[in-house]
Amino acid sequence: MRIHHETARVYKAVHGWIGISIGLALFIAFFAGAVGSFKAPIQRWTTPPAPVTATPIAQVPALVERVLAVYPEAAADYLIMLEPGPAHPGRMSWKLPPGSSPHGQGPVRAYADLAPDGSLHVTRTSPSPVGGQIVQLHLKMGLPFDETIAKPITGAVAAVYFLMLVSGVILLLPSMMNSLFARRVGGNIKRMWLDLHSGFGLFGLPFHFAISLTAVVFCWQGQIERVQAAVFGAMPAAAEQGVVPLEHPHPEKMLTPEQLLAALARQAPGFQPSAMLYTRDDEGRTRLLINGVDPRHAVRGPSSGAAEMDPFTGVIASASRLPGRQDGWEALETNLRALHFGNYGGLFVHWLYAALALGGCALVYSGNLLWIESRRIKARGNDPELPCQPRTSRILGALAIGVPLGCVSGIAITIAAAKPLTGRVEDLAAWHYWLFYGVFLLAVIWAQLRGPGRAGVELLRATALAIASIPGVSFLATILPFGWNHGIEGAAVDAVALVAALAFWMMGARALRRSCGKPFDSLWHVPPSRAHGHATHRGPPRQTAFPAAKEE
Amino acid sequence: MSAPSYSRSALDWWGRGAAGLFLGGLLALGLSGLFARFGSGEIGVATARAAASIWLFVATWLPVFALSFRARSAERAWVLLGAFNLLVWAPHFLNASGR
Repeated sequence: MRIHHETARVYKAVHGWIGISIGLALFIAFFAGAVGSFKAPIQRWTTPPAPVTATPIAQVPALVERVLAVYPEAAADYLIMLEPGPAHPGRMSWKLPPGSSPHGQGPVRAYADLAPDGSLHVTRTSPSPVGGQIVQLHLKMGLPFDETIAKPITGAVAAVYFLMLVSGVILLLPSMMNSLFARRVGGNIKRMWLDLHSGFGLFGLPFHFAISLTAVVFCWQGQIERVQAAVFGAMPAAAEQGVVPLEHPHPEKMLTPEQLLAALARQAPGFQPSAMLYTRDDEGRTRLLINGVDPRHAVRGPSSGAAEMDPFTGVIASASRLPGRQDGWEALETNLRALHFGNYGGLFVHWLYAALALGGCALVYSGNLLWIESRRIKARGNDPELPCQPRTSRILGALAIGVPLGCVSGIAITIAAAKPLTGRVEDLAAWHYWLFYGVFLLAVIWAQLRGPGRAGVELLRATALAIASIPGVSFLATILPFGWNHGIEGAAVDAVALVAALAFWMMGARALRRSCGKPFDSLWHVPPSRAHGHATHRGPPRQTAFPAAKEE
Repeated sequence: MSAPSYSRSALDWWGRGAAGLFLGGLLALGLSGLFARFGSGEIGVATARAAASIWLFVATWLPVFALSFRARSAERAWVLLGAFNLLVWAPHFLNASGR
């Protein structure tokens, strides 16, 4: 396909300038999204084991009655967990009034169970905040703002990300067939990065288109809806024909959870319920939502759909979020949303999505390096004077290293810190929050101080160590009196972290080898020692001689 | 590659992008309205039927915005997208005046 050279030039300008301005935010979104999609195992890993005496499901009505007698405020919104575990240590739970800290300090939920002797046992605790914070990083692309401010910005970045994809493809089209599988490793290093960049972009293209489009809808749905309503009027005028909750004459007339689950299984075979959410509005009407999944269908939420049931009759009151029982419009919306979450197709698709998101990280990382490298000033001939690289290139180069690696090591450290911190500090959520941003900022500042070349090597190694601290604290927890381990489910998290740590360590070694071979006017060149009186470099000698051959 | 042509196109990408952003958005809004009026029947409310018009809006806007940079010049982008807008919005106005 031929592209007019003028068009190509416009797209090149757009691709480059917009890429460098949103690339770093996209990296955080990709990485936090990939990690955050494993929120459940991370939450288990980061939450201490709690003695769960799960009340038998047959005794739940007695449990609820006992709890509501002591804590009437729980009636407004309580949850019956069908399979309580470490991250949800209790059959019944309800939200406590929010604490004073902006990061949600202290216990946020109360969990109740009936002890074997029939006494009521209530604990106030909160599942580890780490998983939720990583998901927040994904939603806000790391911006430390309130969601009402950060979400529209995320939407704008996602929209521009779509433009990046189109412009990238248009730039690639003329030469695509020649270089589709070419990976010109070695020789010209810029060529290698370009091949990697195009490869990651092209082979992940359907994923990236789906992610950017769905992200724009998620972020701007409310705003678009309001504009449409303002221009066309809300159609139909009688909006919200959702289920009218039934009058609630006597709570004792509600069916028991056992009966309700049996009724649900009859009406929606194949749906696997996980939790029952009871809510009561100001007029005392009770609604029941049963969350769950159906492996044969996509689900509307990130990890679950829901059946709305009439708690008095056991009839499904609304199937609008019930997988496989939705009408065409609802199924359409659910399936489009599922394209973002990757919650169809089980573990395989989940890992495929994670791999594609990490591919997105590589795409952004390589794109940034290419843009910066293409702007560097090359030494001409044998001029002994080093050309001064533009200040902006140095700053951007350091950012392109510091932000991604700061994000990765920040997330790793905040996960690892859960085991030593839990139970030792008062405001756990704030600790995790500031730990992430602290490590993140440290990496960003370090990259600025050391320059992109040296910081690249050093931060890759630091990141490898940060990730290794996850299995590290797990190991220490087995020999020292702190922390906990969850058996095979926790060990899976440790194993993944160990592999990732090794990968980052190897990348660090490669970066070191590459930076030694760099022409000494390159931004990525690591000088053997600073000529201008800065502290000499400690550690192994990085380079003994200037490279004999210049790049290109 | 002559210098003047380069600088003109560099300036131009704002013009083309603005056309795609604003007229593309207007076009997508008009299309989503047509879709609701003659298809799904619901818009501007929080239902799955109305959500379809939101998806249509985004699925129109983003490609139009991204492809607006292909226009030969900023002026052409504005004229072309303006013409498409007239086409899409005409039924709305005809409907409104016929009521």
